[in-house]
Amino acid sequence: MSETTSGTERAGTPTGDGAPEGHPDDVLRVRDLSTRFFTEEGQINAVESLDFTVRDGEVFGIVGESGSGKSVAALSLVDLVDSPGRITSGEVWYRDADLADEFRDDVPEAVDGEFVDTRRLPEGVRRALRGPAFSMVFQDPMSSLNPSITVGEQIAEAVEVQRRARANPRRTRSRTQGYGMGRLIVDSLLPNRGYTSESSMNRAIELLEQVGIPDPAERAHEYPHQFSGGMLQRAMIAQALAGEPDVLIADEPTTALDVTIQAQILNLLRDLQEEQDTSVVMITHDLGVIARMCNRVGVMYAGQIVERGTLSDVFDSPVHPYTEGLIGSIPDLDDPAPRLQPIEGNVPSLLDEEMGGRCFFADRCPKAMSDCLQPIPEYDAEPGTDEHAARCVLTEREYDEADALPPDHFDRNEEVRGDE
Amino acid sequence: MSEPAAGEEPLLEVRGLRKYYFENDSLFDRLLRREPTSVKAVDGVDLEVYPGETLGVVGESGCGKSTTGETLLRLREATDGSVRFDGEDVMEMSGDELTRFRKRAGIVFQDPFSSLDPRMTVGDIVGEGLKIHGMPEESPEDGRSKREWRRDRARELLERVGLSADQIDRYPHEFSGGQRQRVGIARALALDPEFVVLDEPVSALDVSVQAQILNLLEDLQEEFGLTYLFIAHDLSVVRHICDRVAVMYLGEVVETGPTDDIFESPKHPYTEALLESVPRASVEEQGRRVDPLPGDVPSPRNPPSGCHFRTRCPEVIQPATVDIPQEQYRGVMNLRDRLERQGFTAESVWETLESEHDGDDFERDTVAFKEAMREEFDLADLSGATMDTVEDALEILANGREDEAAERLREAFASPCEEEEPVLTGGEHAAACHLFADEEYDRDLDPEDVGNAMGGMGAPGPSPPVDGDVDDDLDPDGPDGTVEADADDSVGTDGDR
Repeated sequence: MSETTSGTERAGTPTGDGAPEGHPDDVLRVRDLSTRFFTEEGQINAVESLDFTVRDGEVFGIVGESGSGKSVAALSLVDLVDSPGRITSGEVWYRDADLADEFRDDVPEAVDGEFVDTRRLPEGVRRALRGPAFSMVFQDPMSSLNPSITVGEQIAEAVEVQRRARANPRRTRSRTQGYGMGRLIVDSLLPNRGYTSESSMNRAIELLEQVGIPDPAERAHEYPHQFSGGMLQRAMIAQALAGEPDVLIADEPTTALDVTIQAQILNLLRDLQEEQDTSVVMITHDLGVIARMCNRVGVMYAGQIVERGTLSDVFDSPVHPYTEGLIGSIPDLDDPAPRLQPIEGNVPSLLDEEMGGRCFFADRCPKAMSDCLQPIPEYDAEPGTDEHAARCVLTEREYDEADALPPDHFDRNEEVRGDE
Repeated sequence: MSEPAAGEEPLLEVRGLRKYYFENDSLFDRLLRREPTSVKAVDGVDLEVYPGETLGVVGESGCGKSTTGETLLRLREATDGSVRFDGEDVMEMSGDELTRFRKRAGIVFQDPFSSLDPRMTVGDIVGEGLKIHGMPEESPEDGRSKREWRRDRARELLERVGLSADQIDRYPHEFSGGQRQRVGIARALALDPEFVVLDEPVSALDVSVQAQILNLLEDLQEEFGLTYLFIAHDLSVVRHICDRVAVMYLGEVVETGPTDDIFESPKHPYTEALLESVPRASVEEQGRRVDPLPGDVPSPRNPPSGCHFRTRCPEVIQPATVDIPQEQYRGVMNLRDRLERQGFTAESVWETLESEHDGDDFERDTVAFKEAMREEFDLADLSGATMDTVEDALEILANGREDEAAERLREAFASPCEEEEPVLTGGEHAAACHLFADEEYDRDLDPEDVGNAMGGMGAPGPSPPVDGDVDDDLDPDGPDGTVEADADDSVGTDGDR
């Protein structure tokens, strides 16, 4: 094993100095990001040393099954992980020359060239980045909008927050927290004193029009329940666009929608991305959506990106057996194959004590070998390119039946777990 | 998994099935003399399911596919229509007869999390049906008690669906989604049914687990000679598992036929659009732009007259007096639809104009109003008599007389699609669309218009060479006979595959 890991091993060292090396167009470089949930049942490693980069004006896709940690990864990027979850380690390097200049003297370790490590910036600054730097479209539009406030007003709120922030940059109190006890009392006595102004409402109507809602002026005064699912998702996108973000994170933006509506929303996202040259992180379980939208892809399994590369790297020459299995599981619309090739077993629980130091896929992997029983770093799948990489020993060696694990190797553990 | 032989009796035959839900229908509403409004969930569905086959029912959410599945099993009472199962009328059954039917027809529900009682062990869940139907009828000969017999049968079933017999005393929460769905399938199989309704059995599951369940369902069908009604919204799953497909839209079947025919040469514009919209998981998909259907599915409270799909259809038939490109006709239709059915008011346009206007001296300028309307509904390119009529209507609308404007447009632009409800025609591969109903409405437009109508609507994705003759369906004088011949061709080719 030792001779194979030398040279090509690129697992990020935990707290490196400066931003990781990468492509010159990178707008975001994530290194070794880990998020854990500390629950009564134990520690859950939802995201486990995640590394990836997002470039200017591209769509980066993260694909994985439910419970693979893709949504938590998205929340970790924008620092929205709630208790009992916590980001335990990692760096999120974001390219912003102005921000870098501002903090070069105060927080030198968080600045490298044009990049700043948002994890090491003060909480308030990180908060101020939500909107103009990162913004997010959530999965379920029905439950992500407040049912008791009109759609227009909710979008206007987002606009207003950004407007106040621009007038007074980096002062987080001028943003959401500006609404304190004093304002609450005044507003209760004078109910017409809203947070939003007429100009932000007009901007909200413009945004609604931009995302293709007919009669925006009228629809802005309606409540979420009066919108259809597709229209609500458009409204959510309008809200995310309010801050003109550099990176738009779309977490399963079309999962709750029918295919014809999904096609509309995907077209909309594509148009907006091309118009405004936004970078998009597209998180989904649907390989078809990934294929239509993305330039580069990361496949997540049990909290890790197990394989990443360009779309054709991942779809046409996958290395990791999980990626192969995922692609083999999908019935092909244009060619009904006689038999699907599913992956046996279930997605593992992410409880720390049950994960152990091994390839997390080894228990379901048809090509598991004794080498798989130790932590697997990320290897280059094609020597010389930095694009296609996988956390799998098969990148380095051929499958050899002599080393194969006995089929009942993991049964003992499963007895203990009592799940499968 | 066999094609129905000619002349074979269907196992299940549904005719004109309707299921309406009524709102404002309480005693109180009647005292106040409020008109009950109906939600037409299922509005006249005809289906046949032949022994041993899998019929797929596919459609978007709200099209009534699940309601159809539940109503034909009499889990819901139908408003109208008949269901015959193996020659007997299901709607007329009662007492013992109904109990026997329940034994022969089972169902697997969509959501594996809410369809299993959390307070029962999976052994009890699987064995419950046996107990209700008084099985075994006689005490087993080997001295086991009836209860033990049922327990052993549950063990067998669990093993058969890929679970371990040791798990019989576990509770549903101890299982993952895929495993729970296996329990649901074991429960449906417990009574040895002939016919099983599978109501979106894999849509709550991850792809890798979904493939396991699909394989399991195929194996079980072969082993026990089951007949499936497979309800799904995922077209690739339907293509994979079904022998024949019925496509539903807004409570009606719009197209039905053998799976390969439907997927390789769809007739109904809705089926075409549905197939076009699905993202394929392959590299060729990258950057593919689809022309999605505009708008949302209309409310089943007030479905459009005539063909329910006409409000979104990219190929609406124009009246004999009108001959304009499809996009322009669509613009006029949209305007009418908004006026007639969605309460569109001139006032809202004035408000928008006012909000865009700088300064306080806003005046209601009809020219600006018409300009805004033309832009909103893509009416700018109209010319000739069509333009005059639309200009007229906009003028009337600017004066706030919405009904009159709608009336004016209706007189000039009423489509055959809205006047008459299309029926399923075309034999084995049938579509409910006026384009295929008779020759009068066929696409004998000049080539330019056909090009417009068909823009981006070709056979989706890379198609097998069989598709070479698909376009024959668009043949202006392709009567039903030709279409049927095509369908037969395709069936023959599939056999070779």
